Amino acid sequence: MAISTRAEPKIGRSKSLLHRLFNQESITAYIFIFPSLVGFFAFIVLPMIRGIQISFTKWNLMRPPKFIGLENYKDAFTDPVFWNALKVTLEYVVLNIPLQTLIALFMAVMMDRVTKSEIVRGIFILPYLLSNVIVAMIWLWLLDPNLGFLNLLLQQFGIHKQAFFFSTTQGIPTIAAVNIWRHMGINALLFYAGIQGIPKTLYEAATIDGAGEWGMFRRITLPLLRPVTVFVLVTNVVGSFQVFDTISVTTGGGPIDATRVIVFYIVQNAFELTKFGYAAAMSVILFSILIVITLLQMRVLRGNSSDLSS
Amino acid sequence: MTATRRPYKRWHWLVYLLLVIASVFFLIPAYLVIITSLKEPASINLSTTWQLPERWYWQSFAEAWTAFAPKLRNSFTLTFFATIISALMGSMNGYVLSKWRFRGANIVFPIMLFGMFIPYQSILIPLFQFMRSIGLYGSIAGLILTHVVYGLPITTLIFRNYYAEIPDEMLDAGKIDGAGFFGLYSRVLFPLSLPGFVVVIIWQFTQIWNEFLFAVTLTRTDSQPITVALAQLAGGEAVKWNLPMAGAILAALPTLLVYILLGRFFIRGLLAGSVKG
Repeated sequence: MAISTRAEPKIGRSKSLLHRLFNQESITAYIFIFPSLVGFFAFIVLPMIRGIQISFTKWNLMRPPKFIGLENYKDAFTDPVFWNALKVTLEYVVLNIPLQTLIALFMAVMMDRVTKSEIVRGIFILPYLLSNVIVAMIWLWLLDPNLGFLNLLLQQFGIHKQAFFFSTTQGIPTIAAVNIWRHMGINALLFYAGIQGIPKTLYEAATIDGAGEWGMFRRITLPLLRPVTVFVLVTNVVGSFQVFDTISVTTGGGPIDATRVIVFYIVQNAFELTKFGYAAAMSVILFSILIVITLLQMRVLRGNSSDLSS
Repeated sequence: MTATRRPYKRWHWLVYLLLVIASVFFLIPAYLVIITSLKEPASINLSTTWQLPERWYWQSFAEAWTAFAPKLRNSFTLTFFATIISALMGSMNGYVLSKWRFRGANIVFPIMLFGMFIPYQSILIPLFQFMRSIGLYGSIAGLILTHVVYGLPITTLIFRNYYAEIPDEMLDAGKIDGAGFFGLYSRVLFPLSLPGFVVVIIWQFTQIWNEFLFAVTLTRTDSQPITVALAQLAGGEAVKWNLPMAGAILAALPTLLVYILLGRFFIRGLLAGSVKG
């Protein structure tokens, strides 16, 4: 059963078991995907195992890695900068995700119900086409504490200049805002695509039953959009925990440690301080956190089932 | 199917609100970037930021081009090869996984999908070590390989979903004509794959062109892509902003062009459900 092709399900059923297991088509299939499998193991599976190994060593490129057991993990747990990095990262995620998702959902419903204009969709996706580096550069310029355009505007409304990126309290919110600016359009488009997949007959039936816009959104759109929502949420949450580009271009982790998020701290430890073992240990910790969060999200949102079929 | 839902008339004023928001948030920054890139450094002044330049000054673009041409070339090489290879491999994987049942298929696909959710950072250090050990650290080839592998889960997923929609009867017809495993792919599926390729190519092109973490950690100066060079420029103190803005525009043009040329197919592809969880 497992080997017969969909394209030709009936031929070959009478052949011997051995023949079916190793039939030519099965082998051809593996030859086709072989390069991908090799790449997958060399670049994903092996590095993951090696990463765990490196995390148990002291390694600074000068000398071969030296096994030191759990030392790096102990260091991490007593390192205030590491804890702060986790805290700051979490702050970023909490500011980023709910706002970004709600705005995107709102934009998607607007794009569906108010205007189907391709120009509007085109403008919304614009920032996502620019790299994080360019986006960070533009906002670094617009939000400059002294020479920024936004501060000029604020002053005209009688509001004092703000430090934005370079304030210990505003740094993370500013970086979250820049990220929301870049991603709300693409997320809206994903939601919009999901909404287009909802059968129109459901809405027609609801209209006949006298349901209003809000009722239809809550009872039809939102539940049937769940697979897309799960996809958007899971990828965005995992992505947000790894925020790096914007910080690298703008604050460099400062002022003090206010924006030294976890991936930035890991990269600094590895490539500036050449503490590869310690950096690898922090990577492993972050990876474990991300797995737990992803599984939790899947569980809570019941990601793999659609309400349409249930 | 019956007609689509009628737009909600009572919300009509929202169209204008939406357009105002869109322009304030997205078009004003774009406007400011473009005019600043065309101003003489001496005439850049905070109080006239929003005004058009008195004299169009193209010199910044010439300077940016001289400074960034080698980096742009690196980015082109990297993006071109990584996009094409990951698209082709994704298409073959998608074909095998959607149209053939073979032993282990139920394991192979979830494993590949799992790769989509792997956080880059978790393999960054061992990958750096691996690249050094095979002599590819600091080379564009190494970065291409990396991007091909990390692109495979999404390209495979998109093509698998795309091919699943193509009726099996079309393959049966091909089989009757005597096409084999590869013939079915090259003669039946591949010619139908254009919309799938458009979605995958736009996606991969923008991802790889814009990527920064691998670019900054796995390259040396002579193999740096444009994102790394730009990031270094932004870090400098007291820069005259005409040059960085001109550089930003040069670096943004390729993705914008790809999108302008193929964007309508991209959104159509998205809407057809090519990218789904």
